[in-house]
Amino acid sequence: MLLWGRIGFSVALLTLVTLPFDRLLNRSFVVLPLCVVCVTVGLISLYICTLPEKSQHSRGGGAP
Amino acid sequence: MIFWTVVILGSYLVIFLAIGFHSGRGAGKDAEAFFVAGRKLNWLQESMAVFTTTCSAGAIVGTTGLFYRDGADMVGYIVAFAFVMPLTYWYVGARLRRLGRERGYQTQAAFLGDFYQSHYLRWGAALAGALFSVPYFMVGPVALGILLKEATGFPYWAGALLFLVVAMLYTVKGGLRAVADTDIFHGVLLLVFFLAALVVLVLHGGGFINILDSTKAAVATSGHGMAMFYVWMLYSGLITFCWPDRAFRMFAVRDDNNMRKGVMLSAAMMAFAAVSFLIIGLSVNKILPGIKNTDTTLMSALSLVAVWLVPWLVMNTWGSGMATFTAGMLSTANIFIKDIFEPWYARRRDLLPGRKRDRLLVLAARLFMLFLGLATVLVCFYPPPFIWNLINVTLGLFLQFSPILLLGLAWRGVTRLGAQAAWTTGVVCQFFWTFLSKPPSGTMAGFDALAVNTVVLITVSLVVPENKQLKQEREDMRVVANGMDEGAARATVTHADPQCR
Repeated sequence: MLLWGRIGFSVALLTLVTLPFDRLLNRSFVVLPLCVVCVTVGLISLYICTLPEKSQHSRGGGAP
Repeated sequence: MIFWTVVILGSYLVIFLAIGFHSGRGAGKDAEAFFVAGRKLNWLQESMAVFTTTCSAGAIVGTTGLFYRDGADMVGYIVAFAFVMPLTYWYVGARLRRLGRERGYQTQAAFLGDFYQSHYLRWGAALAGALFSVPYFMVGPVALGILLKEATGFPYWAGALLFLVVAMLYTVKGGLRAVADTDIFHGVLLLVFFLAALVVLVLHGGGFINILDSTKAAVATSGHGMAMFYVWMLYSGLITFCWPDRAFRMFAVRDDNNMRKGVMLSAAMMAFAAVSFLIIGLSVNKILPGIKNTDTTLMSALSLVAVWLVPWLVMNTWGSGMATFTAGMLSTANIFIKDIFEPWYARRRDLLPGRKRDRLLVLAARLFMLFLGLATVLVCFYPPPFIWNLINVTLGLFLQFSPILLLGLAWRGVTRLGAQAAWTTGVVCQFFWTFLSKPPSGTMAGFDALAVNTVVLITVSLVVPENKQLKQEREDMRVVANGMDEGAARATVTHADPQCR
């Protein structure tokens, strides 16, 4: 999950950051919907990245 | 409409006072309860506080105008609040929260002073935090007094005084908890307002297809527009964890879980607000092209196509103004009392921590806020001509804290001398490129100063060696900040030191 979070965040951020150089995406009808999608993906990915990792103890169900 | 503006704003202020007084009960018993709500803020209080303070009256009025003027070139502003702000605020905020709980910090100045073992940074950050904040929050009543006069004909002096009295009453009574709970109420109304304004303006702009049919709906591929696209990302994205009026709440959050949810929710709300600004800007370009004073963009458009929304605009602008004003006043009092007054007074009187000292600190904070309120009255009636210039530099000046906070927590190589030199250089460059010369990048002085600041921090830290004990003390604080246990901490330090191999 952490890996997917990092990938999602990086892709969403890079897509927006490189907009001035992207002839395919930097068009009037694309930028606004693209912003909405990237922002949503970025925020969900970041939330996944910040979730605490499960400890060895809780995974195994053993005594702490 | 004047009647409805007065009724809606009046009811809103009464509810604000009721919430503030109800939430602020018992806040005066100890300093921690007053300044950082007993370190018990939950995710909703945290996120709404950051959202309403960041989405200030200036943002509602001024930033919508910037989106109107620059269109999609302002997408950098959206990136700032959806990506850079949550990433950095979470990274710095979670660490400072843990350290604050462990070592009793309530301000960034106290943290910086201990972290770099530097009295210069402690006093510099405290004085800068207090002095840079004052002009920013003091112009709130001026601007909102003028707005109410424009909307209803209500006398300017009465509007400014009304704003000041209401904001002062619940802040002085209830401290941060009262401010945080009123922020929740305001935040919900602000989101509803944005949604309503969006729908109305898009419909009057001819629908989504029509408003997107414009050159302003694509990002500039060269020149000043493209430069601003990138500058906004760092400028707005890094400011939240540096600006005392929103950053001091990181010391008040209950635990990591509430911090994470709070940061993410505030980022989602700010991103929604920023996307709304873009849609509003594009829509108004279709409805009312050629507005010269862009600060009037939203008011002019709503007055033309949805006059019933104007009272709600006035009410929400006042609410955001209050959120910024009360947070600014409280954070300034927090810095003044905890970083300047308490160390000086407690040392002089030999006062030990306890109930007596706490009551004294809260009393001093209330008196200091009253003093700030009286000073604000003077600014309202005799505004110094240079005050608007000071506000322009405030943001850039706070930005100069970001390298020493962010790199300090992330990089083991940072040194005390590097931090002192970097921060000083950043502040000097900011003033130089604001008042004496133009910034080399041709964008904002704070951005250029930030670049120089970061280069100086890295260079001096790499070139000038530092005492090992200082480095070790800083590493110990990083361990607490990272939330590691003792064993993991020892392992990290051992592996980090190449001489131990």
